[in-house]
Amino acid sequence: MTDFFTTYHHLFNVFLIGSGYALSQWVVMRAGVFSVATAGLASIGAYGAAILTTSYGWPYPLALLAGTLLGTGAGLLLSWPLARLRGVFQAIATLAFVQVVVALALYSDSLTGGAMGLNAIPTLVGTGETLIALVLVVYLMLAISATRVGRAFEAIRQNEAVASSLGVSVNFHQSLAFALSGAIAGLFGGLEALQSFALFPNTFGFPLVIAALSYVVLGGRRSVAGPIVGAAILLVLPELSRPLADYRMALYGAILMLVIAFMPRGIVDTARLHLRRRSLAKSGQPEARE
Amino acid sequence: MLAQQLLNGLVVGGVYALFALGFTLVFGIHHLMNLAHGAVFMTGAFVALYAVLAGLPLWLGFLLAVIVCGLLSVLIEITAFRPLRKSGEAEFGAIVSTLGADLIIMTFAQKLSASDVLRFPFETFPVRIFEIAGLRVSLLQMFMSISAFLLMLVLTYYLYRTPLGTRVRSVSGNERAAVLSGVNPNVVYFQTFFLSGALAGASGVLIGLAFNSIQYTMGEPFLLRGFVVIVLGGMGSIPGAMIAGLLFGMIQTLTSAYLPAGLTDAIIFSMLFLILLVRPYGLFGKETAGAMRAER
Amino acid sequence: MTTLSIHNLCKNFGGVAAVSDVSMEIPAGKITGLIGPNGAGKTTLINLITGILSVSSGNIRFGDQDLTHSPAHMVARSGITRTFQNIRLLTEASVIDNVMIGFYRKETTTTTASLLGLPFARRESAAIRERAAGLLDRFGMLHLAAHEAGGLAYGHQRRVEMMRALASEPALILLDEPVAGMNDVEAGELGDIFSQLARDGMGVLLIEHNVRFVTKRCDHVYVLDSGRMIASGTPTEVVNNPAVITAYLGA
Repeated sequence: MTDFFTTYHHLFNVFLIGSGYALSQWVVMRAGVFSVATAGLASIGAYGAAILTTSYGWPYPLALLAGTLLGTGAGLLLSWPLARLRGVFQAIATLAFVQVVVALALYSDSLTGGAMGLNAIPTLVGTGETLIALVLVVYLMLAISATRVGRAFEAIRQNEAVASSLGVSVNFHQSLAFALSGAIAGLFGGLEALQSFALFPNTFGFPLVIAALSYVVLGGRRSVAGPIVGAAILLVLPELSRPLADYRMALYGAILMLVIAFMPRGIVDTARLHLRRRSLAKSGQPEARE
Repeated sequence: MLAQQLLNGLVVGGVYALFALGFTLVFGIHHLMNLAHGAVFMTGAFVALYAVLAGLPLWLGFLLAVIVCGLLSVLIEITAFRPLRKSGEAEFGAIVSTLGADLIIMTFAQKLSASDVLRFPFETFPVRIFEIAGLRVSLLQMFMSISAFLLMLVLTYYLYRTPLGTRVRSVSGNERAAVLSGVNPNVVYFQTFFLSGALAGASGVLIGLAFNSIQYTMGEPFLLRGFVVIVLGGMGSIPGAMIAGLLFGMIQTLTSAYLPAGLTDAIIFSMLFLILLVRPYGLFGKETAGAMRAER
Repeated sequence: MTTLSIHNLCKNFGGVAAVSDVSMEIPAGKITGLIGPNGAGKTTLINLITGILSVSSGNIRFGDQDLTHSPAHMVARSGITRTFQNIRLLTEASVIDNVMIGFYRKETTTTTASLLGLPFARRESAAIRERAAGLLDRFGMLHLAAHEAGGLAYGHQRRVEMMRALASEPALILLDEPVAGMNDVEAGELGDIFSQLARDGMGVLLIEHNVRFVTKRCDHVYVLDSGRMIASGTPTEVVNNPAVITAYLGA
């Protein structure tokens, strides 16, 4: 019985943190930016929080705040040069950023412990704190979606020229999106650090880039629920049976290919679209097309 | 010493150029990125290795690798690119979908090799070192350079001198117009992807021989470095990929030789970031490749 | 009552002059027409005014504001909106969402309030939704509010774009071929709306190919050919101008 709880307790924590990373990835794509910087931003927040608690004995709320601020700052710094790039070039640039962070974390071993890792990090947070953080972030994301900033993001995402012609500053909002993405990644990086005993640079490398992107692609890029559902499915599925766990990488790969081919909007967005169309049809609306 | 490093860099650069050519060929024609290119590269090394382990001569293994990888690349086109043709978000979709293909192919290799690092049997390629003009050149290095050079020559000839190649380039310019003038796009796609895969496979075999450390994960770092080459040379530019490949090979070798180990990656990827900032369309890429936002 | 004044505007792309030495006055309360053969540079001119393209030389003034080098979103905030030649709706959004974004420049919710979901932000969003619905009602499209904008018929899409441009009560509206592809009845309905807007004090710049429409609705017409202004005057004067006739026939 305790086995069940311990295993699934850990999985639940992994899910919470994965959802955080997914939301960090989601928010920046909401504003039409193709950034995959989340992994690098998370690394900065994680190492920041870890170093502050291990070497300087900071209490965890301050360490988490520091991690969040570091992530925010890094996100903002990134947004400035990336404003001039579009599409896949933004993706490549942010991928380069992630690799630079990994490389620097490996190299500066006096600060970060390098490849041997940053060890003996006190466990200062648990499920409770992580859950609260996630609820907070979800609330903020929902608030954005329901108000002015969300409308601006959506307009920019769909058509930048139209958005600016309506008075929306594209640069401002994309910088804002980067800042938010950095804040969320930094926060959850810090949370991961403070419950992991040890940190390694490669935890925040290409595999995390793929993971965060996959959660959002699978779940949906518009709804707040999307990335969380995506994270839940991709983290739980391999746990359901041994073969699935063994072939985890191929499972992810197959899901990505199938989603793009058959359900490119992701699960939650596709479901909502269908529900909306059905309710329009049911209420007897005349066909919009003449 | 410096000259030796430059030579070594040039040799590896030739292989980077091959790899980048394959990638840029697809991007130039379809304006889409194939993130599974690294996995195809890795497959090339695996095929050649297993062929040799099964007792086949190396040259046959090489040939097999090239063909298998060409076909693999075509398979990727069918499963990952074709569903996107009607989509408005092909760019994004291609990245995600080919990423998926990359993961699947890697899993195959992982299971096949039990995650081990594999090596070619000793003397698969004869170990001979020559002294030319005070520099040490191995037979393998010569082979690598000559193969790379020949393959690039063949590709250039194909693209610019044959009717097939002309059709390929016409699709790159304007698919609609090409179709209207009687070109069958599927035939073009088959050719470009086959070539792309063949080049990746060839580079995989060469790198596999050169560093003799074949693992299912070897495609990833190569792809990432491949990005640097491609961006440096200019997305979609054939001459760009070749020159940038050679340049990059030298830069990488010099950096690892003269700077603290471990800093190499940081420098290379910072370089990539800087290039994207200053000149995202690279040395030879066209500004219309789509790197920059609209004027304001 | 603000007038848009353009003086000696030039735009060069590499060696090609898309717009050369163009001067125009677009006063409030009147409908000004801009006509010219295809490729004359009419849309380029609108893109220059709205800040999507940068000006090579010359200046653009709106009242006492110099908009020559203002970025697109600042031009919009000074009270100038536009429609697009090839209708640019947010196709994935609903009709009402499309109209709601039109109110953006007038909203007063701060970024922080929006991020935190403060009551004021939510109230303003609700108010905007109501106003958008009101606009839809005036244009007879309230029943389509929840529909996906991308699935609408052409005429409806044009109307949604119009509503979006009008939502923030601009001082000047730039219409890029608003009645293209419409029959006379539909064009007439829209034309009545334009005339009413001008009577209410709005400035209207109308780019159109439909010469009959332009003649009927415009107070003043400018003619552009190959980036240069070749004629300017009342509709009757312009239509009978030999240079204009040559430009159209010779094009």
